[in-house]
Amino acid sequence: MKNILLFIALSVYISGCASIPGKILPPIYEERYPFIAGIANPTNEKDSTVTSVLVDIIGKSELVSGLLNAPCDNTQVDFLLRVDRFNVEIRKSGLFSLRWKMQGSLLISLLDRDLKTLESYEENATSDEKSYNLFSHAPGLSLLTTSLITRILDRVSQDLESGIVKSKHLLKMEDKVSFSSVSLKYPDISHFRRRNVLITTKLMGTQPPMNVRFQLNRKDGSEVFSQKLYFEHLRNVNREKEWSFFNEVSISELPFNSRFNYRLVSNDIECKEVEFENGMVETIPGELFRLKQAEVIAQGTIITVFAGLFVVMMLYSI
Amino acid sequence: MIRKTFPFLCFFLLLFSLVNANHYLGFGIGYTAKNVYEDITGSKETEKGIPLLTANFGFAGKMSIVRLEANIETDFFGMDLITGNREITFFGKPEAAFHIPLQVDRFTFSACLGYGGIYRRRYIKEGSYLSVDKHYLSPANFEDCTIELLYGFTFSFSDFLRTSVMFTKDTGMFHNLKLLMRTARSDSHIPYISINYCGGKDVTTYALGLSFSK
Repeated sequence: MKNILLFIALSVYISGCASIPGKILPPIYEERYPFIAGIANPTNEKDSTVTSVLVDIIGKSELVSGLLNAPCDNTQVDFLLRVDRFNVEIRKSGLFSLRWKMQGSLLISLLDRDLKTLESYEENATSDEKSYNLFSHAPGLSLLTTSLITRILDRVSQDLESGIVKSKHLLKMEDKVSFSSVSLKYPDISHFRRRNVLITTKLMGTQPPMNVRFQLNRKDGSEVFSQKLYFEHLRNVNREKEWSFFNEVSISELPFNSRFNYRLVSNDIECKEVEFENGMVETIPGELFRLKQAEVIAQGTIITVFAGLFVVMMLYSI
Repeated sequence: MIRKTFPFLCFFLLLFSLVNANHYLGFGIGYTAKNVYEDITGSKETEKGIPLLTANFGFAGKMSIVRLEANIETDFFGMDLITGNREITFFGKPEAAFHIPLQVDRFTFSACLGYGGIYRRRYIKEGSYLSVDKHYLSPANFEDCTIELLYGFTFSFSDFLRTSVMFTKDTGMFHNLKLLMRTARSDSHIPYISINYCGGKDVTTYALGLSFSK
């Protein structure tokens, strides 16, 4: 019985420790460059299957913010991708052999909106699969195709980052609605030396905010520090989305009894800095901070003495 | 039918309003400076120096300009809890009062009228104090109650100092002084440090504790 209780206590303890929520970083797509890609019709009609796989993979990836399938209006896209060649060579040792050997090559071109080739990407891959199903045909083919496409897309995304393509599509700018709170946090029973600033903000709109930051400035405008806010969660509000961000920053180097201006900024779709909230924070005097620490000590003393007295009372009883 | 339903309805309404009101609770440590009780022989004994564990629980609700506050504070110390003596010293201080607040800038002053007082109890099982090894327990069971109309006033400054003074018509009979304080610019969940003095004809207690309010 005792062991069972101990086991239950241990499991509760372990599961409790395992479920401590961590800080969640913003999803990668918040960082992506705002491209809209188009998929052109393949050069050979038989490669349309690969094109549809390509559309599917790009749509699920974080490469672009928008995707248009052929036939599309080229003024709306920043670049186009076209499957130029797809060859697969399938070899089988014998009629009842279990081994399937495949060799594939894929050529995808990156075109600008005037259908001029900017770059061509070619990848080769081999696959050696064993299948015990006598009726299966080329079991690793889809895997091979996917790996070829993802390898090419990796190279495309590297080239996009290096600036081979400039974003030219029509942008829909929006002013996001924001609800923010900035508060200074001082010692409490769980943190004796706490001097933090807690920033929580909620942004509502249709386009994801990029790189939300908190900037603290002196009165003359010089920056004290700038801190990135962590993405916390995403919520659907009617037709819009609500992104919440937060961070708790230690401000122990800030002087007491002084005033600072703060700004909350983010980047819009053109990567320009947009200020969506500003205000002022005032740090408390140093004496009040010491008093708060004394208050924490007093609270701790009261709790300890209460618990001690309770234990003494129990001991008297036994 | 009416005789059963009506009190039930009243009770339900009271419970509903209490649940929706702001509640606060606290705990702390205390000390009995004076406690006069009657001995088994009928003579008056004065006891002092008993440590106390205190706990209090209260509600505050606002109805138009009147504020209703109800709380109960219990002070307790039992040296022989498990083997039979349920309690040796027990003070219960129930209190319910109407406040009419007057606010000027950051000061709030209110006069209040209420009902409450102190209930004292001292209990030792007969078998206990007759046995040799429990000779330190003084042989007396005692029960006393002073609950009547209370007058008082409260005073608060911003959100970091609150004082409340309550007394009976005859001030010497029973009076209760409570001081809650915390540092300025605190978060709302930071508890108040409470200092409590309760005096009367037969009893004096001091207590120091924490009070958590919603």
